[in-house]
Amino acid sequence: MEKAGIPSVRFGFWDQKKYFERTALLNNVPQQRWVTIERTGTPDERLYPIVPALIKALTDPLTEQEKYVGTYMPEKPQRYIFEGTYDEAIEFFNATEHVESADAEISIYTDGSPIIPPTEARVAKMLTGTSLSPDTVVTDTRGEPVKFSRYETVTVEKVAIIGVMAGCKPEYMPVLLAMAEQGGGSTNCPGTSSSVGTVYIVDGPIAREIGVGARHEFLDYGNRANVSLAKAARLMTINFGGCIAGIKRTDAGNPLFAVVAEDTPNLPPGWETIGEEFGYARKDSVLVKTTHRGFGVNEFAPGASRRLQDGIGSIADDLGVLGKPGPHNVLEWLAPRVAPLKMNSGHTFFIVPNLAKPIGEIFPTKNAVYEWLFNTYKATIRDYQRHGWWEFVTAIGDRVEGTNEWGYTFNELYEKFGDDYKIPIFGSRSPKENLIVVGGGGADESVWHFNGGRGTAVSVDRWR
Amino acid sequence: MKKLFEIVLMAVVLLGLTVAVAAPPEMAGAPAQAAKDPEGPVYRFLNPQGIPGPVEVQGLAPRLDTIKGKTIYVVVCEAGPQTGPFLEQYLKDNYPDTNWIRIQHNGFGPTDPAEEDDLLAKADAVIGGQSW
Repeated sequence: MEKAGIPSVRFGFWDQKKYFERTALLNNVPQQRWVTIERTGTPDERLYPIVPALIKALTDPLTEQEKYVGTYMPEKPQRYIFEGTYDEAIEFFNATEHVESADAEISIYTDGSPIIPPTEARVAKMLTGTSLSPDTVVTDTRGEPVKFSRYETVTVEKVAIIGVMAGCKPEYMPVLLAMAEQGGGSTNCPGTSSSVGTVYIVDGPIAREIGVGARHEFLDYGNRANVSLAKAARLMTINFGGCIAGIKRTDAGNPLFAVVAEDTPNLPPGWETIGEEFGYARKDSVLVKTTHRGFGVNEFAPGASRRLQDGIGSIADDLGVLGKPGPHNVLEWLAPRVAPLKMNSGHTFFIVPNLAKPIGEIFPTKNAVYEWLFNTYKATIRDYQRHGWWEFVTAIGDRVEGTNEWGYTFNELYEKFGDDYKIPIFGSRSPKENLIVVGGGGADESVWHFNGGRGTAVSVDRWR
Repeated sequence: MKKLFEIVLMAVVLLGLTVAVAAPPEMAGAPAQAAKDPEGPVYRFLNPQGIPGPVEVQGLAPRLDTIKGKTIYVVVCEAGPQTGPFLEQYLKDNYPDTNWIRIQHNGFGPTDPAEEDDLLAKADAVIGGQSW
């Protein structure tokens, strides 16, 4: 509006102010006037009281700063950020600032845990993990510089600095660079809310080369590659894009930030690897960044899934297969129970090999599982309309999406078929929006379920 | 004695001010340094922060002298019509001399190009809000 010569003011939630300031800068109007509104309360309590401030923002004369036209040239970050002893550097990088929305001291350079200070020698050693020169700008597959927080760019050296800080080994560098290519650990910065923690899957030869865990407790602590790479993703978000609490999201946060591999040797025969699912060959090393909006672990009672395979026990009873030995599909029990959480959207399942095995005896490929999920579980449009996502995702049915597989846009589909028309729950337009990752060790109890689809994959080999 | 004390006190204060003014300013572009004398080897530590680029800054549009007789658009982006309709009604009730026009954007819905053209042609000012 301001660019068109129309005076304007924006209002938004108090905990989104930092996000707003960053967005205003990116839209060339860093002085954009802003009024805060509370999230909750009646209109009397939260909305009407801000009206005088809104009108004042439209009528108060501009300050000299607000009239400024020109180039905002931020100071280029110094190559060195601190000089001192090693111990002093640890304290320096532990610096915090008070973030009002968090009502807490929030770390500026770290995820809250100490880091390894990046000396020149350590960074130089880290750089031996790639053939690329330190000043190479990190770009995406189109050759465009990757922008963190939609603004800052980084070089290979910056990624190596993060690698040192996170405790990575030099041989992790290609994965670190692929991680940077995907924008680091944030899926929504600057953002307003609710992009959950990020899960990466390292697939192909690099996973074994650097020892990314795929088996017992692969989502847990203990494996240096898994843990330090996950920490690096967070440090990229924090340092590259300045994404600390208050700018990157406004909700409660998410505890899940993990880097894992798929247990390729224990995939059911015929099942695609993660890389193959994204069009790569098994010889290719790939990094997948999944996108989720919530998750839960569904843990079956000890032995429950084994009893199902024997045709005994409560789950066998529920599925109507008492007395009938397997293979049986445990997802048949789980899917209808998690389905109402997110309709018409991709879902991701992390399944331990022992649970995947009988599913693999029923479905020869992962894609066959996705098609079964997509075609079996449906909700009526009326069901969807009772779901909170309805308003947001479909703009209360008005959203004009791309043409779906039936040849209808969203709003045409709603109008044409009416409220009783059934839409898929697991996927919106394609079964391939779903993802299965096999791993987690020798138990037969756990299935992690994520609301949200499979995300994106990039080549790790490009960064070797 | 009291006079002498005052003279000494003033001299101390003046000396302090002189030292404070004469102290060299912090060197621009230099890395932060530890405040106390270091113990052990001193290193320089590399900066992990991303590299911001230049941004062309646009000045704000001149403000209105009054809202009376003006056409002001209220554009609210939210998941559902929770704030926009209330705000519009309140403004119409309390500022009847202004022509208030509300545009509601629900969820990630597309903006209507015709609505946008209309706004650009007719709006004297805009109140924009995001409440999701």
